[in-house]
Amino acid sequence: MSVLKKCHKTLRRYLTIIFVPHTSTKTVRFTFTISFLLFLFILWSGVTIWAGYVTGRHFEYWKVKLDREAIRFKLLFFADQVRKSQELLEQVKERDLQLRALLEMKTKKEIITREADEGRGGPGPKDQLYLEKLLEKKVDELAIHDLRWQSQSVHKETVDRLESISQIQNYISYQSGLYKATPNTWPAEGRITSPFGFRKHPLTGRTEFHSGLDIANEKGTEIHSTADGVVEFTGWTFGYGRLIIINHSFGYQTYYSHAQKILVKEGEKVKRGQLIALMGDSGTTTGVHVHYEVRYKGKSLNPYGFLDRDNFFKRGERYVWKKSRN
Amino acid sequence: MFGKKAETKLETIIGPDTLCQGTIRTKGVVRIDGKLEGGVLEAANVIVGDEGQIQGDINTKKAIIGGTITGNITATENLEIMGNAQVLGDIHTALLSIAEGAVFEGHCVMMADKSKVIDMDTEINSIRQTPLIIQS
Repeated sequence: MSVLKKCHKTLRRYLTIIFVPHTSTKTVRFTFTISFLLFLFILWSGVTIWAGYVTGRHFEYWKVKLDREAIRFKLLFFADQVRKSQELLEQVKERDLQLRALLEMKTKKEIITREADEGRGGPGPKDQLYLEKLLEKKVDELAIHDLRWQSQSVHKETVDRLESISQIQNYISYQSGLYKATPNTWPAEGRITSPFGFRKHPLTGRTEFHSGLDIANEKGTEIHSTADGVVEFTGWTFGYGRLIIINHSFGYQTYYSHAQKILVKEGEKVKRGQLIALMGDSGTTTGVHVHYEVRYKGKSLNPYGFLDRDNFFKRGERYVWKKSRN
Repeated sequence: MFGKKAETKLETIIGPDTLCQGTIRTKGVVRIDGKLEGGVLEAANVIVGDEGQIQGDINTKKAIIGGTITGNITATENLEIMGNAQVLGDIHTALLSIAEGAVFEGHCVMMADKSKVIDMDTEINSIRQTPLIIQS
Protein backbone atom coordinates (compact mmCIF):
# COMPACT_ATOMS: atom_id res chain seq x y z
CA MET A 1 0.00 0.00 0.00
CA SER A 2 2.78 2.38 0.93
CA VAL A 3 4.38 1.85 -2.44
CA LEU A 4 1.10 2.73 -4.13
CA LYS A 5 0.76 5.79 -1.94
CA LYS A 6 4.30 6.84 -2.76
CA CYS A 7 3.58 6.37 -6.42
CA HIS A 8 0.42 8.40 -6.13
CA LYS A 9 2.24 11.15 -4.30
CA THR A 10 5.01 11.24 -6.88
CA LEU A 11 2.49 11.44 -9.65
CA ARG A 12 0.72 14.35 -7.98
CA ARG A 13 3.97 16.36 -7.71
CA TYR A 14 4.36 19.40 -9.92
CA LEU A 15 6.98 20.06 -12.54
CA THR A 16 7.73 23.36 -14.22
CA ILE A 17 9.29 23.85 -17.58
CA ILE A 18 10.54 27.37 -18.20
CA PHE A 19 11.72 28.64 -21.54
CA VAL A 20 14.16 31.42 -20.86
CA PRO A 21 15.09 33.55 -23.87
CA HIS A 22 18.49 35.16 -23.68
CA THR A 23 16.89 38.44 -24.58
CA SER A 24 14.65 40.71 -22.57
CA THR A 25 11.46 39.09 -23.88
CA LYS A 26 9.31 37.30 -21.37
CA THR A 27 10.00 33.82 -20.14
CA VAL A 28 7.41 31.15 -20.81
CA ARG A 29 6.68 28.64 -18.13
CA PHE A 30 4.52 25.55 -17.98
CA THR A 31 3.62 23.77 -14.81
CA PHE A 32 2.20 20.27 -14.82
CA THR A 33 1.73 17.41 -12.49
CA ILE A 34 3.97 14.50 -13.25
CA SER A 35 0.97 12.32 -14.07
CA PHE A 36 -0.09 14.81 -16.74
CA LEU A 37 3.43 14.80 -18.12
CA LEU A 38 3.37 11.01 -18.14
CA PHE A 39 0.05 11.13 -19.97
CA LEU A 40 1.52 13.60 -22.46
CA PHE A 41 4.53 11.38 -22.94
CA ILE A 42 2.35 8.32 -23.55
CA LEU A 43 0.14 10.28 -25.94
CA TRP A 44 3.19 11.54 -27.76
CA SER A 45 4.62 8.03 -28.00
CA GLY A 46 1.31 6.75 -29.30
CA VAL A 47 1.08 9.47 -31.90
CA THR A 48 4.66 8.86 -32.93
CA ILE A 49 4.09 5.15 -33.28
CA TRP A 50 0.88 5.73 -35.20
CA ALA A 51 2.66 8.22 -37.46
CA GLY A 52 5.47 5.74 -37.95
CA TYR A 53 2.96 3.06 -38.83
CA VAL A 54 1.16 5.32 -41.28
CA THR A 55 4.43 6.37 -42.83
CA GLY A 56 5.43 2.75 -43.03
CA ARG A 57 2.25 1.96 -44.88
CA HIS A 58 2.90 4.82 -47.17
CA PHE A 59 6.38 3.52 -47.72
CA GLU A 60 4.88 0.13 -48.47
CA TYR A 61 2.64 1.78 -51.02
CA TRP A 62 5.63 3.33 -52.76
CA LYS A 63 7.45 0.07 -52.62
CA VAL A 64 4.51 -1.69 -54.19
CA LYS A 65 4.32 0.98 -56.86
CA LEU A 66 8.00 0.55 -57.62
CA ASP A 67 7.59 -3.20 -57.64
CA ARG A 68 4.74 -2.89 -60.03
CA GLU A 69 6.92 -0.88 -62.37
CA ALA A 70 9.67 -3.45 -62.09
CA ILE A 71 7.19 -6.23 -62.76
CA ARG A 72 5.91 -4.35 -65.77
CA PHE A 73 9.40 -4.23 -67.22
CA LYS A 74 9.97 -7.86 -66.38
CA LEU A 75 6.74 -8.76 -68.11
CA LEU A 76 7.80 -6.84 -71.19
CA PHE A 77 11.12 -8.56 -71.12
CA PHE A 78 9.57 -11.99 -70.76
CA ALA A 79 7.03 -11.33 -73.46
CA ASP A 80 9.91 -10.45 -75.69
CA GLN A 81 11.76 -13.58 -74.62
CA VAL A 82 8.73 -15.74 -75.34
CA ARG A 83 8.55 -14.25 -78.78
CA LYS A 84 12.22 -14.94 -79.34
CA SER A 85 11.87 -18.52 -78.23
CA GLN A 86 8.94 -18.86 -80.56
CA GLU A 87 11.08 -17.69 -83.44
CA LEU A 88 13.83 -20.06 -82.39
CA LEU A 89 11.32 -22.87 -82.23
CA GLU A 90 10.32 -22.01 -85.78
CA GLN A 91 13.93 -22.56 -86.76
CA VAL A 92 14.02 -25.79 -84.81
CA LYS A 93 10.90 -26.89 -86.64
CA GLU A 94 12.55 -26.18 -89.97
CA ARG A 95 15.64 -28.10 -88.99
CA ASP A 96 13.49 -30.92 -87.79
CA LEU A 97 11.74 -31.12 -91.12
CA GLN A 98 15.10 -31.05 -92.89
CA LEU A 99 16.33 -33.82 -90.65
CA ARG A 100 13.25 -35.86 -91.38
CA ALA A 101 13.75 -35.32 -95.08
CA LEU A 102 17.33 -36.45 -94.65
CA LEU A 103 16.26 -39.61 -92.88
CA GLU A 104 13.53 -40.15 -95.44
CA MET A 105 10.98 -40.66 -92.75
CA LYS A 106 8.42 -39.04 -94.97
CA THR A 107 7.24 -42.44 -96.07
CA LYS A 108 5.74 -43.01 -92.69
CA LYS A 109 2.10 -42.19 -92.91
CA GLU A 110 1.95 -40.59 -89.50
CA ILE A 111 4.61 -38.13 -90.48
CA ILE A 112 2.86 -37.18 -93.66
CA THR A 113 -0.21 -36.26 -91.70
CA ARG A 114 1.86 -34.41 -89.13
CA GLU A 115 3.62 -32.46 -91.79
CA ALA A 116 0.38 -31.44 -93.34
CA ASP A 117 -0.63 -30.23 -89.94
CA GLU A 118 2.53 -28.22 -89.46
CA GLY A 119 2.67 -26.94 -92.98
CA ARG A 120 0.91 -23.73 -92.05
CA GLY A 121 3.62 -21.21 -91.28
CA GLY A 122 4.17 -17.52 -90.85
CA PRO A 123 2.84 -15.21 -88.19
CA GLY A 124 -0.90 -15.24 -87.75
CA PRO A 125 -3.03 -12.16 -87.11
CA LYS A 126 -2.82 -12.79 -83.39
CA ASP A 127 0.95 -12.83 -83.65
CA GLN A 128 1.05 -9.53 -85.45
CA LEU A 129 -1.28 -7.86 -82.98
CA TYR A 130 0.88 -9.07 -80.18
CA LEU A 131 4.00 -7.72 -81.84
CA GLU A 132 2.41 -4.34 -82.44
CA LYS A 133 1.39 -4.06 -78.82
CA LEU A 134 4.84 -5.05 -77.75
CA LEU A 135 6.42 -2.46 -79.97
CA GLU A 136 4.19 0.27 -78.62
CA LYS A 137 5.10 -0.85 -75.11
CA LYS A 138 1.45 -0.97 -74.26
CA VAL A 139 2.04 -3.75 -71.89
CA ASP A 140 -1.15 -3.05 -69.96
CA GLU A 141 -3.15 -3.87 -73.05
CA LEU A 142 -1.47 -7.21 -73.34
CA ALA A 143 -4.27 -9.26 -72.00
CA ILE A 144 -3.53 -12.26 -69.89
CA HIS A 145 -5.07 -14.61 -72.41
CA ASP A 146 -2.74 -13.18 -75.08
CA LEU A 147 0.25 -14.01 -72.97
CA ARG A 148 -1.19 -17.36 -72.08
CA TRP A 149 -1.88 -18.11 -75.68
CA GLN A 150 1.65 -17.10 -76.57
CA SER A 151 3.31 -19.18 -73.90
CA GLN A 152 0.97 -22.09 -74.56
CA SER A 153 1.84 -22.09 -78.21
CA VAL A 154 5.52 -22.13 -77.31
CA HIS A 155 4.87 -24.93 -74.90
CA LYS A 156 2.87 -26.91 -77.44
CA GLU A 157 5.48 -26.34 -80.09
CA THR A 158 8.22 -27.50 -77.74
CA VAL A 159 6.28 -30.64 -76.87
CA ASP A 160 5.70 -31.33 -80.55
CA ARG A 161 9.37 -30.86 -81.33
CA LEU A 162 10.39 -33.07 -78.46
CA GLU A 163 8.06 -35.75 -79.68
CA SER A 164 9.38 -35.39 -83.17
CA ILE A 165 12.95 -35.59 -81.94
CA SER A 166 12.21 -38.65 -79.88
CA GLN A 167 10.62 -40.19 -82.96
CA ILE A 168 13.77 -39.47 -84.88
CA GLN A 169 15.82 -40.87 -82.05
CA ASN A 170 13.71 -43.99 -81.93
CA TYR A 171 14.03 -44.31 -85.65
CA ILE A 172 17.80 -43.98 -85.49
CA SER A 173 18.18 -46.38 -82.59
CA TYR A 174 15.81 -48.79 -84.29
CA GLN A 175 17.78 -48.51 -87.48
CA SER A 176 21.08 -48.96 -85.72
CA GLY A 177 19.72 -51.95 -83.81
CA LEU A 178 18.32 -53.34 -87.00
CA TYR A 179 21.65 -52.84 -88.70
CA LYS A 180 23.43 -54.70 -85.94
CA ALA A 181 20.85 -57.46 -86.01
CA THR A 182 20.76 -57.91 -89.77
CA PRO A 183 23.29 -60.42 -91.13
CA ASN A 184 25.51 -58.78 -93.68
CA THR A 185 28.72 -60.77 -93.96
CA TRP A 186 29.82 -64.14 -95.15
CA PRO A 187 29.63 -66.71 -92.37
CA ALA A 188 32.79 -68.35 -93.69
CA GLU A 189 35.22 -68.06 -96.54
CA GLY A 190 34.64 -70.42 -99.41
CA ARG A 191 32.70 -70.90 -102.56
CA ILE A 192 28.97 -71.25 -102.94
CA THR A 193 28.23 -74.83 -103.86
CA SER A 194 24.48 -74.71 -103.63
CA PRO A 195 22.30 -71.57 -103.77
CA PHE A 196 18.95 -70.83 -102.16
CA GLY A 197 15.90 -72.17 -103.95
CA PHE A 198 14.58 -75.31 -105.60
CA ARG A 199 17.23 -77.84 -106.49
CA LYS A 200 17.86 -81.47 -106.87
CA HIS A 201 18.92 -83.00 -103.59
CA PRO A 202 22.45 -84.34 -103.93
CA LEU A 203 21.74 -87.45 -101.91
CA THR A 204 18.11 -88.32 -102.52
CA GLY A 205 17.96 -86.91 -106.05
CA ARG A 206 14.54 -85.41 -105.48
CA THR A 207 13.69 -81.85 -106.40
CA GLU A 208 13.14 -79.93 -103.24
CA PHE A 209 13.41 -76.48 -101.70
CA HIS A 210 16.87 -75.58 -100.43
CA SER A 211 16.29 -73.18 -97.56
CA GLY A 212 19.88 -71.95 -97.25
CA LEU A 213 23.20 -71.29 -98.85
CA ASP A 214 26.01 -73.83 -98.93
CA ILE A 215 29.52 -72.47 -98.61
CA ALA A 216 32.25 -75.06 -99.01
CA ASN A 217 35.84 -74.92 -97.83
CA GLU A 218 38.38 -77.06 -96.05
CA LYS A 219 37.59 -78.82 -92.81
CA GLY A 220 38.19 -76.59 -89.83
CA THR A 221 37.54 -73.33 -91.63
CA GLU A 222 36.31 -70.75 -89.15
CA ILE A 223 32.61 -69.92 -89.12
CA HIS A 224 31.71 -66.47 -87.86
CA SER A 225 28.46 -64.98 -86.69
CA THR A 226 27.06 -62.65 -89.33
CA ALA A 227 25.32 -60.28 -86.87
CA ASP A 228 24.99 -59.49 -83.15
CA GLY A 229 22.70 -61.79 -81.25
CA VAL A 230 22.22 -64.52 -78.67
CA VAL A 231 22.93 -68.21 -79.25
CA GLU A 232 19.55 -69.87 -79.15
CA PHE A 233 20.46 -73.45 -79.86
CA THR A 234 23.55 -75.59 -80.20
CA GLY A 235 23.58 -79.29 -80.77
CA TRP A 236 22.94 -82.20 -83.05
CA THR A 237 19.87 -82.29 -85.24
CA PHE A 238 18.93 -84.78 -87.85
CA GLY A 239 20.03 -83.60 -91.28
CA TYR A 240 21.67 -80.44 -90.04
CA GLY A 241 24.31 -82.24 -88.01
CA ARG A 242 25.93 -79.93 -85.49
CA LEU A 243 23.73 -76.87 -85.68
CA ILE A 244 23.97 -73.38 -84.21
CA ILE A 245 20.97 -71.07 -84.21
CA ILE A 246 21.60 -67.46 -83.36
CA ASN A 247 18.68 -65.18 -82.57
CA HIS A 248 19.43 -61.62 -83.64
CA SER A 249 16.04 -60.18 -82.54
CA PHE A 250 14.10 -57.95 -84.94
CA GLY A 251 12.83 -61.30 -86.21
CA TYR A 252 16.16 -62.43 -87.61
CA GLN A 253 17.67 -65.84 -87.00
CA THR A 254 20.66 -67.43 -88.64
CA TYR A 255 21.42 -71.14 -88.89
CA TYR A 256 24.90 -72.57 -89.26
CA SER A 257 24.97 -76.32 -89.72
CA HIS A 258 27.20 -79.34 -90.48
CA ALA A 259 29.82 -77.91 -88.13
CA GLN A 260 32.77 -79.97 -87.03
CA LYS A 261 33.02 -78.25 -83.71
CA ILE A 262 30.76 -75.79 -81.91
CA LEU A 263 32.66 -73.09 -80.01
CA VAL A 264 29.77 -71.25 -78.29
CA LYS A 265 27.20 -72.20 -75.67
CA GLU A 266 23.47 -71.67 -75.59
CA GLY A 267 22.51 -68.28 -74.19
CA GLU A 268 25.86 -66.74 -75.02
CA LYS A 269 25.90 -63.30 -76.52
CA VAL A 270 27.78 -63.10 -79.79
CA LYS A 271 29.05 -60.20 -81.80
CA ARG A 272 29.18 -59.86 -85.53
CA GLY A 273 32.29 -61.60 -86.80
CA GLN A 274 32.77 -63.65 -83.64
CA LEU A 275 34.11 -67.18 -84.14
CA ILE A 276 31.34 -69.64 -83.35
CA ALA A 277 32.22 -72.91 -85.02
CA LEU A 278 34.57 -74.80 -87.31
CA MET A 279 33.43 -76.12 -90.65
CA GLY A 280 32.79 -79.84 -90.93
CA ASP A 281 30.63 -82.51 -92.54
CA SER A 282 28.34 -83.58 -89.72
CA GLY A 283 24.76 -84.53 -90.61
CA THR A 284 23.42 -85.26 -94.01
CA THR A 285 26.05 -83.95 -96.32
CA THR A 286 28.22 -84.79 -99.29
CA GLY A 287 31.23 -82.79 -98.27
CA VAL A 288 32.73 -80.23 -95.95
CA HIS A 289 30.58 -77.11 -96.07
CA VAL A 290 28.44 -74.80 -93.98
CA HIS A 291 24.72 -74.68 -94.63
CA TYR A 292 23.86 -71.04 -93.88
CA GLU A 293 20.26 -70.00 -93.42
CA VAL A 294 18.74 -66.61 -92.75
CA ARG A 295 15.24 -66.68 -91.29
CA TYR A 296 12.99 -63.76 -90.78
CA LYS A 297 10.10 -64.55 -88.46
CA GLY A 298 10.57 -68.21 -89.07
CA LYS A 299 10.54 -67.89 -92.86
CA SER A 300 13.68 -68.62 -94.83
CA LEU A 301 15.07 -65.82 -96.93
CA ASN A 302 17.69 -65.95 -99.60
CA PRO A 303 20.97 -65.52 -97.68
CA TYR A 304 22.57 -64.26 -100.84
CA GLY A 305 21.01 -60.88 -100.10
CA PHE A 306 22.65 -60.81 -96.68
CA LEU A 307 26.24 -61.44 -97.64
CA ASP A 308 27.27 -57.90 -98.46
CA ARG A 309 26.93 -55.07 -96.01
CA ASP A 310 25.84 -52.70 -98.75
CA ASN A 311 22.74 -54.79 -99.23
CA PHE A 312 21.33 -53.47 -96.00
CA PHE A 313 21.28 -49.98 -97.41
CA LYS A 314 20.28 -51.05 -100.88
CA ARG A 315 17.29 -52.81 -99.48
CA GLY A 316 15.87 -49.38 -98.86
CA GLU A 317 13.21 -48.01 -96.69
CA ARG A 318 10.20 -49.75 -98.05
CA TYR A 319 11.61 -53.11 -97.27
CA VAL A 320 12.51 -52.17 -93.72
CA TRP A 321 9.34 -50.27 -92.99
CA LYS A 322 7.14 -52.92 -94.50
CA LYS A 323 8.67 -55.36 -92.13
CA SER A 324 8.56 -53.19 -89.09
CA ARG A 325 4.93 -52.42 -89.65
CA ASN A 326 3.76 -55.92 -88.89
CA MET B 1 25.31 24.04 -27.11
CA PHE B 2 24.45 22.53 -23.79
CA GLY B 3 25.84 25.37 -21.75
CA LYS B 4 29.37 24.15 -21.17
CA LYS B 5 30.54 27.67 -21.70
CA ALA B 6 29.95 30.08 -18.87
CA GLU B 7 28.58 32.61 -21.34
CA THR B 8 25.57 30.50 -22.19
CA LYS B 9 25.09 28.70 -18.88
CA LEU B 10 21.97 30.04 -17.21
CA GLU B 11 22.67 30.20 -13.52
CA THR B 12 20.05 32.33 -11.85
CA ILE B 13 16.54 33.47 -12.60
CA ILE B 14 14.83 35.98 -10.45
CA GLY B 15 11.17 35.65 -11.21
CA PRO B 16 8.73 38.50 -11.88
CA ASP B 17 7.20 38.54 -8.41
CA THR B 18 10.48 38.39 -6.53
CA LEU B 19 12.38 41.00 -4.62
CA CYS B 20 16.03 40.18 -4.06
CA GLN B 21 18.22 42.21 -1.77
CA GLY B 22 21.93 41.66 -2.04
CA THR B 23 24.73 41.24 -4.50
CA ILE B 24 24.75 38.43 -7.00
CA ARG B 25 28.16 37.11 -7.86
CA THR B 26 28.22 34.46 -10.55
CA LYS B 27 30.21 33.19 -13.56
CA GLY B 28 27.20 32.30 -15.68
CA VAL B 29 24.11 34.00 -17.01
CA VAL B 30 21.71 35.89 -14.76
CA ARG B 31 18.18 36.71 -15.75
CA ILE B 32 16.23 39.19 -13.76
CA ASP B 33 12.50 39.57 -14.22
CA GLY B 34 11.78 40.78 -10.71
CA LYS B 35 13.39 43.38 -8.48
CA LEU B 36 17.04 43.27 -7.45
CA GLU B 37 18.30 45.66 -4.82
CA GLY B 38 22.01 45.27 -4.93
CA GLY B 39 24.30 44.53 -7.81
CA VAL B 40 25.57 41.86 -10.12
CA LEU B 41 29.28 41.17 -10.18
CA GLU B 42 31.54 39.20 -12.55
CA ALA B 43 28.64 37.69 -14.53
CA ALA B 44 29.07 36.43 -18.08
CA ASN B 45 25.76 37.77 -19.22
CA VAL B 46 23.11 39.80 -17.50
CA ILE B 47 19.63 39.78 -18.98
CA VAL B 48 17.09 42.12 -17.55
CA GLY B 49 13.54 41.34 -18.65
CA ASP B 50 11.02 43.92 -19.66
CA GLU B 51 9.59 44.01 -16.16
CA GLY B 52 12.92 43.66 -14.38
CA GLN B 53 14.36 46.32 -12.08
CA ILE B 54 17.87 46.62 -10.72
CA GLN B 55 19.01 49.14 -8.19
CA GLY B 56 22.75 48.83 -8.09
CA ASP B 57 25.83 48.43 -10.26
CA ILE B 58 26.20 45.76 -12.91
CA ASN B 59 29.62 44.37 -13.76
CA THR B 60 29.53 41.86 -16.60
CA LYS B 61 30.88 40.82 -19.96
CA LYS B 62 27.65 41.18 -21.83
CA ALA B 63 24.38 42.74 -20.89
CA ILE B 64 20.92 42.89 -22.43
CA ILE B 65 18.77 45.42 -20.72
CA GLY B 66 14.99 45.43 -21.15
CA GLY B 67 13.85 46.85 -17.83
CA THR B 68 14.83 49.62 -15.47
CA ILE B 69 18.38 50.02 -14.17
CA THR B 70 19.36 52.53 -11.55
CA GLY B 71 23.12 52.30 -11.30
CA ASN B 72 26.26 52.06 -13.37
CA ILE B 73 26.71 49.38 -16.00
CA THR B 74 30.12 48.03 -16.93
CA ALA B 75 29.96 45.60 -19.83
CA THR B 76 33.43 44.61 -21.06
CA GLU B 77 32.27 43.20 -24.34
CA ASN B 78 28.80 44.19 -25.36
CA LEU B 79 25.85 46.19 -24.09
CA GLU B 80 22.40 46.13 -25.61
CA ILE B 81 19.70 48.43 -24.41
CA MET B 82 16.25 47.47 -25.66
CA GLY B 83 13.46 49.77 -26.70
CA ASN B 84 11.49 49.98 -23.46
CA ALA B 85 14.48 50.08 -21.14
CA GLN B 86 15.35 52.82 -18.69
CA VAL B 87 18.95 53.24 -17.68
CA LEU B 88 19.75 55.84 -15.06
CA GLY B 89 23.51 55.77 -14.60
CA ASP B 90 26.84 55.67 -16.38
CA ILE B 91 27.82 53.13 -18.98
CA HIS B 92 31.25 51.58 -19.62
CA THR B 93 31.31 49.28 -22.62
CA ALA B 94 33.20 48.29 -25.75
CA LEU B 95 30.20 47.73 -28.01
CA LEU B 96 26.99 49.59 -27.50
CA SER B 97 23.58 49.49 -29.06
CA ILE B 98 20.63 51.47 -27.89
CA ALA B 99 17.25 50.84 -29.46
CA GLU B 100 14.76 53.50 -30.33
CA GLY B 101 12.58 54.50 -27.43
CA ALA B 102 15.09 53.65 -24.74
CA VAL B 103 15.71 56.03 -21.89
CA PHE B 104 19.32 56.67 -20.89
CA GLU B 105 20.39 59.27 -18.43
CA GLY B 106 24.07 59.32 -17.63
CA HIS B 107 27.58 59.28 -19.00
CA CYS B 108 28.79 56.83 -21.54
CA VAL B 109 32.42 55.86 -21.77
CA MET B 110 33.62 53.57 -24.50
CA MET B 111 36.35 51.23 -23.33
CA ALA B 112 39.82 51.32 -24.82
CA ASP B 113 39.87 47.74 -25.96
CA LYS B 114 40.01 48.73 -29.59
CA SER B 115 40.97 45.33 -30.94
CA LYS B 116 37.56 44.01 -29.98
CA VAL B 117 35.71 47.00 -31.29
CA ILE B 118 34.11 46.54 -34.64
CA ASP B 119 33.96 49.60 -36.84
CA MET B 120 30.75 51.38 -36.10
CA ASP B 121 29.13 54.24 -37.80
CA THR B 122 30.32 57.82 -37.40
CA GLU B 123 27.76 58.58 -34.76
CA ILE B 124 29.47 56.33 -32.27
CA ASN B 125 32.92 57.54 -33.36
CA SER B 126 31.79 61.03 -32.49
CA ILE B 127 30.57 59.73 -29.15
CA ARG B 128 34.07 58.58 -28.40
CA GLN B 129 35.42 62.09 -28.69
CA THR B 130 32.78 63.76 -26.54
CA PRO B 131 30.88 61.83 -23.92
CA LEU B 132 27.33 61.30 -25.02
CA ILE B 133 24.59 62.66 -22.86
CA ILE B 134 21.08 61.88 -23.82
CA GLN B 135 18.37 63.76 -22.09
CA SER B 136 14.91 62.28 -21.99
